Amino acid sequence: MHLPARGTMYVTMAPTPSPSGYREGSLRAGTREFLTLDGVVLERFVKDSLSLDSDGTGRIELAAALVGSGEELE
Amino acid sequence: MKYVISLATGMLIGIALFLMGLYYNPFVGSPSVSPLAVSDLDLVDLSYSLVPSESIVFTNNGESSAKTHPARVLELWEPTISRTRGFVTILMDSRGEPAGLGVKFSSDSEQTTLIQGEALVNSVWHIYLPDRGTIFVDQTENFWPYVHDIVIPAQLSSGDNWRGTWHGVMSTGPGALGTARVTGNTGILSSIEAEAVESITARAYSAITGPVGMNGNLTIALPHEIQ
Repeated sequence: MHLPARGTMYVTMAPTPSPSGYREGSLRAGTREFLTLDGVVLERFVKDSLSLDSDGTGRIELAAALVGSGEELE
Repeated sequence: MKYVISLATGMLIGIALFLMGLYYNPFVGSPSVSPLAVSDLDLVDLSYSLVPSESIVFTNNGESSAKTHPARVLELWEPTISRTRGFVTILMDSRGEPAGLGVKFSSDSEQTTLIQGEALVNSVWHIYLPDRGTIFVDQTENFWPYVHDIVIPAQLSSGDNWRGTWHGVMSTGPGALGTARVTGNTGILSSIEAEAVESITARAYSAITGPVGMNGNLTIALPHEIQ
């Protein structure tokens, strides 16, 4: 994930989703704001609720939970 | 009236002197020797073409001279990513054989200070080498020597192009010696922490279409036990 204003997260993802429907990953390396952080990233497919047909259209949702020392996060 | 003319003339002369000072700054050099040249580690060379039409995918905000490839690829025009480029290419080994795939994202850095000869770009590579694994390369690049020696002369040329032989080391950090940081992820490279240097060798550039004859080279210094 490359966020130009903040940095890049390099995440190793599990090849298959967990029973809860999420694909899990861990932060392997990061740059700038993410340089010293650790954490996990969850990925899931969210079906488009506005779509009338069931052709599988939707979006991929990524959620990152990152931690660092208190000093770093300030 | 004469004061207004004097003021305007003075401002124009001042701007011209400032721009000439930027361009001919004697304190700014162009590094062409890799800091890994004297390394006793095993060096892996990966090269690729910087000509957009020879890449798998190249995209930018659509306003640059370097045209996106393929023609209908999505352009990065949204404000948050408009100063970012995406690049996917085949990486060749030192024998000229395909060695793997590389995905590069690069964004203009807010740390750029042209007065110090720094046109900085934050970039990352995700490299997949099928027989070795995957690695992540994080670096800051300085494009000022490239702009100074190639882009501006091409813009000023009556033919809108530049031809010659130019070699420059682009990596300027975050390593202490100006090297990029390499983090292994999978395969035999999974646990490595290493350094790399990216360089460009240019032969031709067009102010209208961007790079015409130009190759990039990524040199990675791997620990001996990885080879």
